[in-house]
Amino acid sequence: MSTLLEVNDLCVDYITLNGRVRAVNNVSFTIAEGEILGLAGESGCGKSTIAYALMRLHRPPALISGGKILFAGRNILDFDDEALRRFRWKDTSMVFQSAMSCLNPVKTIEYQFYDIFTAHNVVANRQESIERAKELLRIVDIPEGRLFDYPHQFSGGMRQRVVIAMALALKPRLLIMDEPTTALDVVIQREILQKVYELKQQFNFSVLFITHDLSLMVEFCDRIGIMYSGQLVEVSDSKAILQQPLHPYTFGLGNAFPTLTGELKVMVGIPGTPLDLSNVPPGCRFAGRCFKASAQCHRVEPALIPQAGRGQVACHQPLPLPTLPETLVKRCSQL
Amino acid sequence: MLAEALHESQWVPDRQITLEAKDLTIDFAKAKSSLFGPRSYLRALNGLSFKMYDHHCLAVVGESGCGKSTSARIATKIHKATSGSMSYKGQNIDDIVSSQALRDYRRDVQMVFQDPFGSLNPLHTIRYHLERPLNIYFNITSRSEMEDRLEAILTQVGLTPAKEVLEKFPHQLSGGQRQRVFLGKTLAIGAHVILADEPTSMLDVSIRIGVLNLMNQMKQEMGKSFMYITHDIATARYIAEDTMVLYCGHMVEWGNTEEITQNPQHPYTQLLLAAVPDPSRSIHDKLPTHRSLETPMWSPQSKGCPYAARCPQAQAACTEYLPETTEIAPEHFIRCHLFA
Amino acid sequence: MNTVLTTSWFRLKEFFLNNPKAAIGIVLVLGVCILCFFAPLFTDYLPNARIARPHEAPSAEHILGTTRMGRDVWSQVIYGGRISILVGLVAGIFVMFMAMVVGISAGYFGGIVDNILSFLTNVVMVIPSLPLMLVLASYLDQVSPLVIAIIIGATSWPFGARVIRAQTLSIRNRDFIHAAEVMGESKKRMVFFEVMPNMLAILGSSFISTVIYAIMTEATLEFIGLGDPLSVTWGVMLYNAQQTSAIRIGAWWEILAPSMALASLAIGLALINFSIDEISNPKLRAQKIMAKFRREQAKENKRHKAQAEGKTGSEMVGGAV
Repeated sequence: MSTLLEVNDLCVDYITLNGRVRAVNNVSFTIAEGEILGLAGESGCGKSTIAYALMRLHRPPALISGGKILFAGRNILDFDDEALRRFRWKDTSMVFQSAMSCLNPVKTIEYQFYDIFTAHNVVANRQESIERAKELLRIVDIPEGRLFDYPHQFSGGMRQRVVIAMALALKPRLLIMDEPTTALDVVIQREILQKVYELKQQFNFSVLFITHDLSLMVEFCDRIGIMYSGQLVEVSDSKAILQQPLHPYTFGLGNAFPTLTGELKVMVGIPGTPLDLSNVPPGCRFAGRCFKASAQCHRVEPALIPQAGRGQVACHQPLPLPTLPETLVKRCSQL
Repeated sequence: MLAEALHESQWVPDRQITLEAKDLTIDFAKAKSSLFGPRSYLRALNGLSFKMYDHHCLAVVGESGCGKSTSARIATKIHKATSGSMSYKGQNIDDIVSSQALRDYRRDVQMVFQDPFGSLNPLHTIRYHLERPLNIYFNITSRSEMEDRLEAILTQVGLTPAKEVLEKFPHQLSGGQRQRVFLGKTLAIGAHVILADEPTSMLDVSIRIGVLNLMNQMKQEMGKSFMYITHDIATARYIAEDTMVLYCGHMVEWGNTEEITQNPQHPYTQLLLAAVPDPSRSIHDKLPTHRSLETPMWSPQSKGCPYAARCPQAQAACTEYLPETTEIAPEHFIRCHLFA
Repeated sequence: MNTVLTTSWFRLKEFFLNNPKAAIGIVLVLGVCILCFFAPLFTDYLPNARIARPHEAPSAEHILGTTRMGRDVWSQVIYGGRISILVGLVAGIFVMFMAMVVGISAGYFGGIVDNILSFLTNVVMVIPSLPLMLVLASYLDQVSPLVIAIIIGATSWPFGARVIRAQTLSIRNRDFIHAAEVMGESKKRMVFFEVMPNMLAILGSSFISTVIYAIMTEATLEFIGLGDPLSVTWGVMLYNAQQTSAIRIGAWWEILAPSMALASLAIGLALINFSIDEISNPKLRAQKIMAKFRREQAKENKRHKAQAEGKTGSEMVGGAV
């Protein structure tokens, strides 16, 4: 599998009255073709900021202040306006959290599809646009007859499907999903994600999936990146990440979800509160809440280093683990 | 640790009943479509019955729009039920009209809201938020007694150092801390019954458990009676002894939480449990068959079981008659024609 | 409440340093007010005294010249300002009081109270205010500025009431209001301590807009002749200037002086209004932050360039954004 997206040392700052606040600090990761990468983390960790940066949607006072984003070898940050316009939606598209806030409430869905097609000059006339739109609705299981409805006439789950259909309209190579199902209930959430998985198998696009629900991510994603306070602290195979976490934060997160089956035990979560990004202490950002922080952890910031056969972690004392089964070792060594 | 450690109260004998609902039904009037036509109603709750006890938590589980918040709003007298009754310690709450009786009721029954960012007035300090209830309900005059009380409350909810937290404004605290302040407020009021409407769904994952543990502690050590409204059934299993599954304003399955979560019998409960994200499963696991339709809007004239349109095992009787309650196992009740 | 005051003082100081618009606005308004209310300190002549030859151009003795009747224009401006400002304030307070009572009650209590008050608001709003003022003014013959203030007040409150009602409705449905009700607060306390504090920005902004409107409308009414020509206000000064064909004669100072006074006061108040908007609207604040950032970046770049030029060619300063 070749690499589709390579992010190197990305930094995003927010300018405030009191100076700069670094929301994303030297984040590097890759997404291969046809892979689903998940970015997990809590509020303020910077995952949505990264998603916006990948499409250069940031407006002042947010600034991309460093790093490179290589999409199929070209650095997005160097694109001029025209190249950026062609890049957006054709190479990468995005599904946002709230469908109602990205659909125009006073235009029919058909018009909004037409808008997309004509903006990128892929249809000759309105009739062709309608045909293509109907086909897109079909692949997300929405009856064709609803093409001429307005957004408010759809239920929450159907609206999100329409948004996904629009995001796939130009057959992008990377689909970024920013908390797409957080506002929907579990049954619809599962149906939508199963559908996205099917479409990914069919069209072979990659997915960057952002959410705070780690259990959902383990089910849906191939690899998972855990973010904390603007930094990537662990990247691991999704099936291994909860059973054999590398970073103490991942371990804490795994211990924060009450289970539906199995033994009922008292869970502790992670004590303390997230960092104030305008006031970052030296050393590892998680040291204040870590159960095994040493003196070195409070002095020196750990870098994201690959662990043989397992994944990458930014920790001075990554968690030990028993021997992994063969199949998992093989998967992890391809990371 | 065994399940009993979390749910110690299961073994508490002679539990006192706090809130009890019998056949609660509420209709909301919809806007009339024409000036002279009949007025149409939306039936938000249909025949709800439950019991809440001391040292006990009842979880109300369902998707959004199923009416779970409405039952809490009836209990806090924001809405008035159309039929059926709700009683507190044996007395029908509709009979509580005198201002003194109403004050006593409000002191005992309080609500915790979903949005930690909206439930505290942003212009008042935490001190103000906690002093008001102490002033209204306990008439504390001495300054030192007030300070002691405030510090005690903040320590109980785990917000230390108390002196610093008191002077802060809500926007200076995190979501989890705000929910703790709100729970502290219910303690300050002296509430006995706490209706928590999705208290953790807008909080960070690592903070949720802390708030749930606090609620568990309040339940076990102080004997509070909780109603925990949520769409996340795994957290219901964590803190609630009893669970009630709602669909479209109707109770479909209810009883002991372990029974319901480990051995669901109603098709809707089975669908819900199969859809919950579980790290040990895979996204490819198919959901139990169901027709992917929207939740119906129930009106007083609607007939039959609300789940009939989606249920793969629907029979003729399902579209005609609302099923009766059946006890299929000790502390496990269901409303389904498959078991009638 | 102690903490609210101390934090407010610090916020106030920061406010002035970070908001040039507010600073200029406040200086203008305070400047005009001080000149007008401490007028005897700034001029020796009384506004109605004929002390010089008519239509004299500005000179060292009469810095703004004289009118047709030989009165000192500068004295007229600063004494006349008192009445204009007071009229604006009285009308403003009257309007705000009516608008708040009607708006907050309609928004907070809802139901039939809302229906009645909204109906009342709509009826009064639809009545054309300027013709009504003209009719009333001409019916009452010559009206004193106070009467004009009352007339303006009685016809302009509906606009403010609508805005305040909308804002109250949006605050009404927030969780903390429900929480306070469920806790058992009395309705009076709810309105004054929970709802109103959250509306201070819009109340302040509405008040300032109303004052500007009242001052301008009063000047307008007097200019078209409905005021009392014997009183000394900026509007009457303009009326007199018009009547005596000041422009044709070339006595530009007679028109300019009251106009500049009106403009200064109005601009000052408007600048204060913009600052209030900037505080409550995050988008405008973002623009301000970016402007400050770019200024600082430009300074940094200039400094680096100066350093680089001062150093030998082999050393380069990097680090662009």
